[in-house]
Amino acid sequence: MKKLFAKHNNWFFKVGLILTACMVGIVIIGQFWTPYDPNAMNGAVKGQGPSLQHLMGTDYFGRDIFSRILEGAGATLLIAFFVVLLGAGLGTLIGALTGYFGGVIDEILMRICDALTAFPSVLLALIVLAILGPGRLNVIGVLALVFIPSFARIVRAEFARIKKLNYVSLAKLQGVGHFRIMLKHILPNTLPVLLPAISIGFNNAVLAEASMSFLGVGVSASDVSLGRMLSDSQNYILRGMPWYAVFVGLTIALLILGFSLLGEGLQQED
Amino acid sequence: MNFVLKKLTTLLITLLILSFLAYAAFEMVGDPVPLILGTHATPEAAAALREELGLTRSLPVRYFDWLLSFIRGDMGTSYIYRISVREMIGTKLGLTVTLTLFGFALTLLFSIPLGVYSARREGSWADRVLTVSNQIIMAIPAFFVGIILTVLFGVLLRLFTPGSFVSFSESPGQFLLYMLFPALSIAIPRTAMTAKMLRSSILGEMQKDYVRTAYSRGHNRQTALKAHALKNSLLPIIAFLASTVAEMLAGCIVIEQIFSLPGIGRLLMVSISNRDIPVVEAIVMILAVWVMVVHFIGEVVSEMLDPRLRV
Amino acid sequence: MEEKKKILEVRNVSTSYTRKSPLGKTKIQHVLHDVSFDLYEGEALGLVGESGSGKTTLARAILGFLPKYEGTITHYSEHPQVVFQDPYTALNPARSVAWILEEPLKILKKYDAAERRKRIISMLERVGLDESYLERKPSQLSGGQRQRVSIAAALLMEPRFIVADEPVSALDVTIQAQILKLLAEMKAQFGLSYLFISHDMNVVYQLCDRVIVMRKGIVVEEGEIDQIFENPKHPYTKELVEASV
Repeated sequence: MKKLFAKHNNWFFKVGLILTACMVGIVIIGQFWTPYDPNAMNGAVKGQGPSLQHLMGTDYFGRDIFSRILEGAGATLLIAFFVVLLGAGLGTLIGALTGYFGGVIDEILMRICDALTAFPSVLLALIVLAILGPGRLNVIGVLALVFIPSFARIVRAEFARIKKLNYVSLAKLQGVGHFRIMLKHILPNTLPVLLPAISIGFNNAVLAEASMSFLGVGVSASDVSLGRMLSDSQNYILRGMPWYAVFVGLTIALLILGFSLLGEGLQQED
Repeated sequence: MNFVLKKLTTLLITLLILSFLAYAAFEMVGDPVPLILGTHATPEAAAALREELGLTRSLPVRYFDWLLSFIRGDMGTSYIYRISVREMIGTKLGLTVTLTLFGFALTLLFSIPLGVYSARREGSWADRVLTVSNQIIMAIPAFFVGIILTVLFGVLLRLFTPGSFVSFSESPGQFLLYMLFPALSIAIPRTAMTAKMLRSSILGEMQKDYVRTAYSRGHNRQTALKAHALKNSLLPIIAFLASTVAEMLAGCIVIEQIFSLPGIGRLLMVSISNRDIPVVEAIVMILAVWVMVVHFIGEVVSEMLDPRLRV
Repeated sequence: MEEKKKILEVRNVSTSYTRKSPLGKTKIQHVLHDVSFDLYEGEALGLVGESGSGKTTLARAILGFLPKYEGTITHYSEHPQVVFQDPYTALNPARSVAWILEEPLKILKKYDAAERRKRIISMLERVGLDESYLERKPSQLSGGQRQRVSIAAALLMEPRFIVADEPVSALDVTIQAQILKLLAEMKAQFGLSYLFISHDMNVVYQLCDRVIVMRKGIVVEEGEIDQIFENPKHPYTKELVEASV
């Protein structure tokens, strides 16, 4: 951590890290404590604006919007976490194998990756989710699948570059096995490109979950998530309660902004 | 031209594979018959409908039949509305294309001056402010921009009425005003991204030998920039702009929902929830063709401007 | 010389690649052409030639990095170790000196952790470094220090034969002399054989017993170092010798 700070002593990294830490911190706290029960309806405070009692106001059922956003953001972040974990994990595995060994399989896989990355990922996810139907697990699976090619591509490029360097040749001469070379000799050197990609991955995953659920193909109707709340809150804009949508949108925007700045900061040195 | 032919072949093969995968996947989603007739239909009625829809034939046969009709412009019949899909899509596609092109034009209009200005004044206060704000704005999702614009210009300033779209035939002026806000929503984040890329591309180009030579020959910085760098620094931007048009199309689906625009994205979402497979298939194909063709044009244009890319 | 054991035998090694010229004609480019020589135990053999003479390709063939060539290369000892030219890519930038040096020993599986550490520290001291360098990353070392670590890494494998590909050409003159001295000491101490690749006759003169001069993939002259220096026969060798004085 100290080293990361020394290496990326730039504005983007610092602000991105602070923003991400604050947002994620608040969301984690929200998993254990919220000002109100997110699902408790209170007929006395239906559709109220922001106040000291209800920081972000209440919805038509008298539920506290801030508490609901905390719960929804938790669900969204959890989905994003698994999406990035699976997408980056499998992408790294595929990229490492193809970049290191090369050959025909590498050619074919990269062609597929090229075709897939040309296609906007949101569109691709939308189509596959339309086929599979909504649900948390489907969202995680489909988004992870859609994210694999971009991770595979950058990891592959790094492995293909590093495998030609002298220290890898040396390791081969010393009798180090292929898999140990990949894991212990090459992988740590891909972190400078992998870390920003993971940060941008979170950015994209939060955005994609929000978009999918907003369009109704994401999490199922009974689940909470920022995307679902965004779609609910749309009706409130026209009825003179725009703050609901603004707060939900702001939460998504701040989460994404944090990851995006962090990713940019990790790419820039000093 | 050899290059163009090669790319065109790849394009067609990719589209063919893609279309088959999409068709097969949607056909496997489920039987449309109970959806259309309800669960209480008699077996005879179901069989008759099956025959009518051509579902008794094998999948490859149906696919080729569908593909050939699609190429001829016949996109089949909606399961739900029992009218031609082409008719359903017609004007809606026009609206989405208008929105995308409107957004794209706005992106170009803002990003090129901003990027060039920022590069020209590298290190200045204005450049720093632009760099930081670009970084922030590009991270803001289009739908959030849409919400803010709706609240600001629709609810507070009442420049347009959110949710009540005015078609071109009703009032061209009001149509353009209404379209301005969704177009801005997709254009603003993309403008920031494009300006950022253009700036770094120009600065990279200025570092190159030929610009430095022009500079040392007594040209001032401005002329060196105009004469040499701008054209070359646009090269890497072209591929990016192609992906912009593709991404904007995807963005339109969300933006149409936010602004209640009766475009192809809304039709897609409605058809998905209705399980109206022929409509979904047709829209997916149109979107795929769009994305692939835009990338193809981007590649061909950069190829024409820079023969060095030819491998 | 006669009774000395052979370490390496290179016989009729050739390699070439075809490339397409801009006009569409295919050209065969010879990189190595019918190269033969022997290397004996305890000997430092210099391999001299300008860049493009094929000397690095030959080294890669000997190390087993070249997938395709004609002729035979026979090793009479265990596999050689190598010290590379560019000290900046020879050490893994993500790892500490201790990790880099311990890795080959772990692979050997001969020693336990305590013994490994003991050997690493003693080797570091032999190459003129000490324990305080263990936790440093390559980026925190100078070019000369990196080359010392590379030599230590090679020696820890207890080889009988080391291929050194321009090991000092990236270093400045005083550091060059120190590293050459170290290589000479190690050779005496461990009875090593070197195949020492260089473009610089001067450097070769300081370390080697015998020299092979290569030009455009062909061995143009071979002989004892003194003989080559005093009485070069091939005009190219003369050129190299004159350039070095």
